[in-house]
Amino acid sequence: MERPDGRDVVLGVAYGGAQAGLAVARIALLPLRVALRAPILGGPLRRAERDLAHEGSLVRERVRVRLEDAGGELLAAPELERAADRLLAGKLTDAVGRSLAEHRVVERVAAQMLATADVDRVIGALLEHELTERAVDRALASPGLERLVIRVLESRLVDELTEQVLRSPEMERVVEHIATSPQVIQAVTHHTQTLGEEMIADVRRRTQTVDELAERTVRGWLRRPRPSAS
Amino acid sequence: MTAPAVPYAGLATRAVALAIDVAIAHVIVFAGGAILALVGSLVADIHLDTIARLLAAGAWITVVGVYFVLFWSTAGQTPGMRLLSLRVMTRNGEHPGVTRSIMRLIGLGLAIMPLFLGFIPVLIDTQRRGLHDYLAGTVVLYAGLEPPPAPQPAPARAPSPGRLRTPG
Repeated sequence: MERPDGRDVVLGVAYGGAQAGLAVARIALLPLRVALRAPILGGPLRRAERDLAHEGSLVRERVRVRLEDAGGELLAAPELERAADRLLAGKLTDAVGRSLAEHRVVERVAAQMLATADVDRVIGALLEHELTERAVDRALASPGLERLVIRVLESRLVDELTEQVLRSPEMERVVEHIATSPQVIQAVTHHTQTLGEEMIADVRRRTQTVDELAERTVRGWLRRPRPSAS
Repeated sequence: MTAPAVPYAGLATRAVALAIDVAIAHVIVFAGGAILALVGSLVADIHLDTIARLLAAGAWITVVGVYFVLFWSTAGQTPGMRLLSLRVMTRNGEHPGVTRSIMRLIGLGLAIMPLFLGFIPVLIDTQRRGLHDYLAGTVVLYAGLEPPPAPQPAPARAPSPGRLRTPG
């Protein structure tokens, strides 16, 4: 059987001692608890208890402030900066990167965020934000963007891309689908029909006007007014 | 579109409708003639002599005549009249029958022959009738417009009892 470690034995002794101390303290304080419930001693003792609690809260507040100050000093210390620099320059950064990539942490986090966050609202708020609008306005107004767009449009890449898209079987399929689509055929038929109807209605209206004009003219020559329709 | 002042169709509208009908009838004639000529050229080398030309002219007249008579008597309007919303009717408000349509066709030919002078009455007549309408007893109306009611003959007055003479 393996021999126990001396340090563990010491720790065990310390823990046992502390527990024993607490038990003793409880027993020692038992008369005090009884005294707190007693009618004569209870009042002064409770006042003393309140005063002690007040002192304790003040001490706790002071300790917190001290701790915050100490934390601030620690974070601002150049030693910490140097340590962080060494840390980032060391192998740990590579290891963390590898681990992040290996366990697909970014994808998982993104998926979780997309699953839980209201993405539409976030994007909407981002787009409607004044800063976004200003940034877009600045980008559109900048001569650099204009030059870039002109260069892209004048480049051979656009022509080749267009040619490639036009020659692609997918494009042919799209054109064929659109050309044979019942909705498109219906719309074209409807527009043609409407155009024809409008033309005929226009011819009808004009000929009727000529009818009236011609009859009125001839009747005027013959001095024979048209009898009323009634 | 504003409604015309009278329900009877005027000269210009009727002329356009007639032009459309003549064009359609001639397309039919020429298409038929072209088919016959094609068949003839395939079967044998046919040359039109005088009789054949007369027959062709007769066929032309027949096709054009059948076109008008058929549409007037069955639908009360030809395709050209339909495009311009016209309708031919008798004075009783009915489609003209075959006989009346043939009479109208003859009248139409007579109206056209003297340089369309047979259409002049359309400009003067209260019911805008041409020579062919007079002959066939028809009127041409804008479709959808009812003609004014024809005047009813006055009922025969019953003789008063005092005027009755009893034989005696």
